Amino acid sequence: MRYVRGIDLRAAGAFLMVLAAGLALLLVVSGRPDADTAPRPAPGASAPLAGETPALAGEMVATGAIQPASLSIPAIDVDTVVETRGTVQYENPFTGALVDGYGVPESMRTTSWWSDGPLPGSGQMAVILGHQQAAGGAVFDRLHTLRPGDEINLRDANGAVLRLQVLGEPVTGLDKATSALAETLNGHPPEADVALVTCGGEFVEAAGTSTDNTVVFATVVR
Amino acid sequence: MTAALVLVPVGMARAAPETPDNPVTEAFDDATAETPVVSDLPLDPGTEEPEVTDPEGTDPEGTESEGTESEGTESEGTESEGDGTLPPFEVPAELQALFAQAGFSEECIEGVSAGLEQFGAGLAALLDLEEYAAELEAFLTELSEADPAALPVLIEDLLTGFVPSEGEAGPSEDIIGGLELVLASLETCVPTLPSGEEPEPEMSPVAHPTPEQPAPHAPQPVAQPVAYLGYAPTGADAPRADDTSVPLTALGGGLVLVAAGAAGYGMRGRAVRTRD
Repeated sequence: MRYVRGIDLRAAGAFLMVLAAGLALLLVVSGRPDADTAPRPAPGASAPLAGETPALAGEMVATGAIQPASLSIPAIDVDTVVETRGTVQYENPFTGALVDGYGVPESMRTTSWWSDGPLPGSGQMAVILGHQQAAGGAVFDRLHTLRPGDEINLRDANGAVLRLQVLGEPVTGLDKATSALAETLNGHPPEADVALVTCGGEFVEAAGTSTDNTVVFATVVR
Repeated sequence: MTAALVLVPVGMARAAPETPDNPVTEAFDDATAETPVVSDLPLDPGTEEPEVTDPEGTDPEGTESEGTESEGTESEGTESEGDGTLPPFEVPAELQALFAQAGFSEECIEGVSAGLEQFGAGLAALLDLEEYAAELEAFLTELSEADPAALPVLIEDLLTGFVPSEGEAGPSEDIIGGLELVLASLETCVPTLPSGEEPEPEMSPVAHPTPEQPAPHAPQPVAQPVAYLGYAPTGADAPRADDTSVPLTALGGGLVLVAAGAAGYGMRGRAVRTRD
């Protein structure tokens, strides 16, 4: 057994190997594409439903309905995936009533498209939801700061992009204890093609959610 | 016009005793004798020579014009055979059967048939008129060489031949009258519906389009209205447990620390044993 000034070289080698393995594992874990930010096809994503036309830089611009797979809003640094969620029955914590509501994304950093509603670009308004978190770190934390004309891009699994822009000022303060959200969405502007929905107001610990909803309408840029 | 073919020979016959050697009348007699039209017209029941125009042959006895006709052509009913004349128009039995199958009454069928026969007779007379015009041209050529004293009578007879006498129908009137009779008969055939009842559109191709032909105003697919929901629990206060990126990173770091600790502990143990 060789010793260098009281250091067991075999033990040092084993230590280095274990350290290397640990570092490699750390790199693998940290180097994995972020599930919340890396665009990837949404579950059930399919080819674009409408014709596409070539755009600049090889980008395909969707001219019809798409099944959204990713969403980007440069004005608030949002670039995330779009999951697919249907209608879910909830117990409204503010009223105690069972209500049909939108399925929401699992992650705070992702969004979801309401699959029981229209597709984006179909001519009817699609609904996309994202979380807002009082402590920050959610995808739609700054949704209420959007301004008319801000750019919104939806892409399908094949990369075809549906370009939209914010339509009007964000609608805030929609009380979850009332039908304000449904009324706002059902009375949407005629030119609205997508509604981005998140929460707002104060977070109620007992309810486990915030008191309000915020809606931003967007229209397709032709 | 058919009456002209009848009346002209009569006038010629009346003038004949006064001008027995008139070449014009002789030529016209020859011409009318060669004309087959006179004997085969099945109309003019009110003319001066009913025996000539009676298709039924009800008066086959001798008449004034008998001398101008071919022998045995009227009463035999075979004047159309071999002499180039047209037979009286009759509605085919098949057509009558077709009417019967369509549900028309016998009175209706008879009325329509009579109208069609009158229409056909008018057409036949029109055809005869063309032949008569050719003969008339020849007659006028010979007329120029006739006795001037007889000319007014001949011309008058000729003109009266062109004008149907009272109660007599010309070819065009036969055609029009025949069509009117057919239409009138058909109108009586159509059953009248009770007031306020719409006629059945069975015969209309528009009312029953074929499967290959889409309806002219087929409803276009219309997007169903969307009922948007009213509850979206998108608010949260703390990160969800399902956000797995942080725990995995911590796990990797912890594993490195454990590995480092284990290695350090092993090195320390070996160093102690070495001193011993």
